[in-house]
Amino acid sequence: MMEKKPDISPDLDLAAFFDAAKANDTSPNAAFMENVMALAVGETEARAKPRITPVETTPAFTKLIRSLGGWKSVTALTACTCLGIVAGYVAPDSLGYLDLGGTQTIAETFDDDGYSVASDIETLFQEG
Amino acid sequence: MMAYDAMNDVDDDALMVLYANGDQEAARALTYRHAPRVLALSRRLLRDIAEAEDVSQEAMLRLWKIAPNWRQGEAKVSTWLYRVASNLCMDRLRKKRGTNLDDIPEPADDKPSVEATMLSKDRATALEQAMEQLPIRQKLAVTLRHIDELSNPQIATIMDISVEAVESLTARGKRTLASLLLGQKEKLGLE
Repeated sequence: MMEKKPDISPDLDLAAFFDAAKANDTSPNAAFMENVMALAVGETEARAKPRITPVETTPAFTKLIRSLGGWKSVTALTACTCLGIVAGYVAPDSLGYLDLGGTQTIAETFDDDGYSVASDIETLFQEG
Repeated sequence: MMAYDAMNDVDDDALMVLYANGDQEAARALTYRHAPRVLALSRRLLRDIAEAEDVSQEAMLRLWKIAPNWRQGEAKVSTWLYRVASNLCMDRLRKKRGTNLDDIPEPADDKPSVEATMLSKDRATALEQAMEQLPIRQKLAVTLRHIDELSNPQIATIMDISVEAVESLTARGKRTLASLLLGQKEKLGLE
């Protein structure tokens, strides 16, 4: 013979408890509701922000420097340019002895009378 | 932008679309419609108001995040929220029950309080205490069925189980509750 389970009718017995639980539900406080809505606003703002990926921008001047081989090369190039300009402005008095008499080129002078140039240099050294 | 009052008749799916398009009144309507129930469920399961608020805010935040991708007609917002909140609560309960039982603070309702002198309050308190004795899934199923008054298919969706499993969980849960509360019937005015 099967043993009969105790006759408990849970729905009937528990209904009063469930009703009490529902009746005693406390309303959420205002701060909680405001927090939830603040989260909604925050999420909307986060979505609205354009997602900018940083793009590397190199100034034209930097590109020019790089194309010339970097700062070292540019410094050397500048120094040489300045020396060239200075050399161009300063009168080469010491080259006065190369009086070519009009039409003769330097090459021709050396070809024709290389010794005379050498003796002139010696003269210059002697004169101090 | 529609006024909040004007949104009372707007269904949840439409509110989700409106919110996804930046309408904060839609968010307000969704909050007032669902947040209190999510909070109530979390509070019943966790029996800790601060933790319940944490969980409810997390569930609502997940709703806001999913709004742009919300698929209308696929799931009800309420069911989706209950599911998220239930999972978050169950995770927390498992951690508490599984590891540091001694660290769980005693629920305030265990102590006699002035407010608890009302009969209805006493019954609610007694039920909460009895619910603590139930396994987590039984507790969730009974809460959703008999306090939140959801249908078995809804609960099945929330808990990701079959309707038969829901029926089994609620039946076993109620049987345990009845046996636990039987001795208090007289004290709680249920003779």
